Amino acid sequence: MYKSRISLLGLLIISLASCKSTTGPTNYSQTLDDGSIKITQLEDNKTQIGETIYFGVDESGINSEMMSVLDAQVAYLKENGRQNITIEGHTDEQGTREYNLGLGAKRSNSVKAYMVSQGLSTSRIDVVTYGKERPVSLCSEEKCWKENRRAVTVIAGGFN
Amino acid sequence: MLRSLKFTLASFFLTIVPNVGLAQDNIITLEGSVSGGIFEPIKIALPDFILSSGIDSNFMTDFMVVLENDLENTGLFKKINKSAYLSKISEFDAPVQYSDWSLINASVLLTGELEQKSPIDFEIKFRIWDIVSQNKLGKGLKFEAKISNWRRVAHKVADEIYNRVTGEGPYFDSKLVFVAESGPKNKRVKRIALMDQDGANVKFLTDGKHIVLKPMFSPDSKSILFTSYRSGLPRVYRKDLNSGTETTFRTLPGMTFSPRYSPDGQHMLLSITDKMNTDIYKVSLASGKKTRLTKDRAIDTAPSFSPNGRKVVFESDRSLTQQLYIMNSNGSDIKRITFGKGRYAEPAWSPRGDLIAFTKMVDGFFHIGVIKPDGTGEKILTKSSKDQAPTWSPNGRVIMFYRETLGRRGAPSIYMIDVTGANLRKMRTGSYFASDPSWSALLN
Repeated sequence: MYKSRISLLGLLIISLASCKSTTGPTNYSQTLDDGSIKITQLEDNKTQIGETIYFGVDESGINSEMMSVLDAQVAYLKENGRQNITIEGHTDEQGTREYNLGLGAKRSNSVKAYMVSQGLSTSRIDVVTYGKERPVSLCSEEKCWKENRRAVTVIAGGFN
Repeated sequence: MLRSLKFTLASFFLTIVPNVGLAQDNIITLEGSVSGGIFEPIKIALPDFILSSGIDSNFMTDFMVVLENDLENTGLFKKINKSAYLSKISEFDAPVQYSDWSLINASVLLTGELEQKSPIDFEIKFRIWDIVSQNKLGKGLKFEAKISNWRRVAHKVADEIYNRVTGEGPYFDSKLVFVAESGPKNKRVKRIALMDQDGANVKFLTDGKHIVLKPMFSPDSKSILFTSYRSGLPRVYRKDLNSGTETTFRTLPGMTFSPRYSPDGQHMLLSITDKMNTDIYKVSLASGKKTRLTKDRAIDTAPSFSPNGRKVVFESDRSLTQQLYIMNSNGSDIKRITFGKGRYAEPAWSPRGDLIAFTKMVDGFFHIGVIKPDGTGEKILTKSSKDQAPTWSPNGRVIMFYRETLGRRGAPSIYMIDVTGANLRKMRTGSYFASDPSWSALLN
């Protein structure tokens, strides 16, 4: 949300600056002088774009709930056409090390395949598997494990 | 007194029959079984060595402790306390008074002489005696070595005793490579580390800046393969243990992990991830040329060669859950060998070829188990909330693995267990957590 404000402000500053350098501030008052009222519908303010989607045990498929998060990521990335991303695939601590590396790779590549299907260039997406090596929740119960079975879209500076 | 010892270790299909007393014809068999709780270790007398020029008694004591620990840690031997000894060895080549040792119930006696040969060299002469049948147990031996190498020499003497008494191959003079872990669970620092089989001489091989996983010894014990995140992706590296040189495999794409040497040391097997799919490849270490062995869309990983190099066992979830499969080393003729309840993973083919160790997950527990290559004779050896990653001793008698505790402070430690299921014990790894052990071959 901050970023969009900043960018609008930026546009304003740029337009003001361009006004100054060309026709000057009188242009601005002219648009109000004729007494008409111009009404423009605003875009909704942006919701927080999630970085992380969560998977069921052993699963790597993308369901509709995950899609809405990924769609927002894709939309953002299309607007910000230069930024590349890395998708990290993670697993919970259950299971053996190599299998979890394979499962993490399935998760990150599954996210990548969806994003590419939504029109994002494959060259902008890197993938990595961390398997069970990078847990965020540390208890050995399902409430933690479900937070660790995840794919995280990492972008320099973060979304929003 | 006619007496002999025959130990039947924990039923199953493996038995140690000590060679002690086999010279006797008319023997009374004393059978013990670990599972029955009446197993009696073999009593060994270890009187002080004779000390010749330059060797002090502290050196001898240190040497003895290494040797004793090797033998006692097997669970097969028990040292008789020195205070019980009726005589001492005053001359290395003098005849042994068998009655002095049989009276204190010794079955085996070691006699030895240590001598310093130069400021940096020493030698040990030793003989092993079967007190039960009143015979030498094989010829005496002399080992000459650098003083700095004394621990290895002590392991070699213990190996001779173990080998001659049990008939099993030696394994004490060997090393382990493993992952030393420190720090909290969500910020674990992991380093590849090397140590002697008994936990001594820990040496770090990587600096802890990057995640490292599953090191594997080469058959000649001179190099290791391991996985590191140094490049940002999991990638397989080879490290020469003498020079410290690390080699990358540029011909291999993307994410690679789970490396394992071929028995001839010329190739490795590993997993390569391509999009959603993880398959097993065979790669020439000299040329980097790769051959794809599995083509299924499943996660195919954790490959392990049979000792003759003709077969490969691996895990795959192609039938929905992780199971073990065997194929020819060119990838043909894939057969599933596990059909029990639960999941099977991380197979490791015994250096004897007779068994495959694995990690099994069932009903929320983790086990280390063994199975014959034809899929019969499955036996579960351990049970805990997390036992994983078995590796074999050079003689195929002992399995090392790691056990991880649960919860926020959960952490791994390395354990050992006999292939019979007896003698579970924890490795000492100092102040470090330890996981992913790989046992070397017997050193030369």
